[in-house]
Amino acid sequence: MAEDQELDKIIRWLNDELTEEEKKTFSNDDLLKYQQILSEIDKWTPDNKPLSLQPGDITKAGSTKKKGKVISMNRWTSLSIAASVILAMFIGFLFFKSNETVELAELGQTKEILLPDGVSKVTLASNAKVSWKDDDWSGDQRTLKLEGKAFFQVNPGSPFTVNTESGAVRVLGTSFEVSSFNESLSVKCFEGKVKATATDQQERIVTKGEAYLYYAGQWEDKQLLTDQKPEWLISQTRFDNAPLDEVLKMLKDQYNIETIAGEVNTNRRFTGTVPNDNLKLALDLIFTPLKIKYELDQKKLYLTE
Amino acid sequence: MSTNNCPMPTDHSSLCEEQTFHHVHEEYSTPLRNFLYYKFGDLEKARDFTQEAFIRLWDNCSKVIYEKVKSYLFTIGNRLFLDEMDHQKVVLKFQYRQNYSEQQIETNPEFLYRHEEFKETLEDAVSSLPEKQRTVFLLSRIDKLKNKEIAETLDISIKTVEKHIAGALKTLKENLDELSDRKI
Repeated sequence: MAEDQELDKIIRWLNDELTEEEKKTFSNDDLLKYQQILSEIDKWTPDNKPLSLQPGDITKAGSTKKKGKVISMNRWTSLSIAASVILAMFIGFLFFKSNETVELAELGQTKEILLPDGVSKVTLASNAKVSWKDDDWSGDQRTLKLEGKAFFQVNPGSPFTVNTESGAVRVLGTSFEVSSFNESLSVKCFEGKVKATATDQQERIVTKGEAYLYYAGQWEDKQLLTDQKPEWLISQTRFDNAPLDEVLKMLKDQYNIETIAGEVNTNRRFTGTVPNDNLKLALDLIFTPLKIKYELDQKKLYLTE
Repeated sequence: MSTNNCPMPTDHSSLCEEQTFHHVHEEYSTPLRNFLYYKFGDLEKARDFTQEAFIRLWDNCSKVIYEKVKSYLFTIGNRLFLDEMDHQKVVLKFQYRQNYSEQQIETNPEFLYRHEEFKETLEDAVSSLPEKQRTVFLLSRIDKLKNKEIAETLDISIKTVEKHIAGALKTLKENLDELSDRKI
């Protein structure tokens, strides 16, 4: 793609890897313009004043959770309890101590958790994590944060929102899987309907039997699901035209393998079913059809074309 | 109440030692504050949440592995902000570093963009960049973090970092070109 090539040229120019000839392939003005922009920004700083809090203040005082400021989110909560300055400050102080629940699935395991509404459930895939504050589960909302991959079974009720680094998924009552990895978001809906919003605000409505993947800044075409539930709830993971990035993340989460992909393009697609409990077989099943050579050294995996 | 099932890290270049903690604060307090500013555009809050992130680090010093401290700090800072912000438009402003030297202008005498208002126009253009491009680009140029460091801290690939930096530069040039065409 012309756009990609253009970016690659700029990347190599920034790394000082271009020959004189290659530099000429730029329209001459472009390089000077880039240079002018960079020279200007290189001089900037948000603030010349140094940070006032010295590390000594933190370590000497032990844990100083002394903030008296009222945070706007909790201003709302405090108003609904009782309006008084002292209470408002106390609530502000509590903001940094507010009860937070964190649940993790260990490496190689899944973990099923009952959610605070008493009926909805989330099953975490290996190495995934959910968390929520008490405030996040009130009469008119149910909200939690997810890192990694999980399967949700949500009882109809108040709006239910899953927040991830790569976007948010909002539902009314349904069962669905969300997987967040490397700035990408995968959403599969097994029952009901969900709305997924990526970090750049682009949205997709995902209904029963459908799946969408947000990758490299855009939503891809809808896919159809073949199962009623994700297969990793048993002990394998199915990939359908999934980017290699996603497969490598599964290797990390499931087997604690760090992959050094080198020159290999991790946008390549993989379709297949891979066991969660047999590393040798998994590596074979993934890389043989893709014709990628791999070498495993302790917990590090090296790939070459 | 926090139920945390993570096992204790065995590596003890320990953050609970004041010297180590001070070193970490020295290295990362400014880049963290800057990162939060680039992302959310509120300098005072960026300062506050940077302090808070370090307070939490100190409280949890026995649970954080030294090698992961960067991404721990940036993740906490990011989360504190996310809980707060309601997606206002980001407007970034910058000062000139006190220790920068004027020599640079001599070595690059050709200015293709008009120099008056160049800084203001560029600040606007930077503020309009997509968030990820903006934060990665500024961490690279202003905080001088290496691509590898940015990748580890934000938990993305080096390739993605490079693409964001190049993409930001390209978008900025296109933005400035469009504005100067209109002026003429």
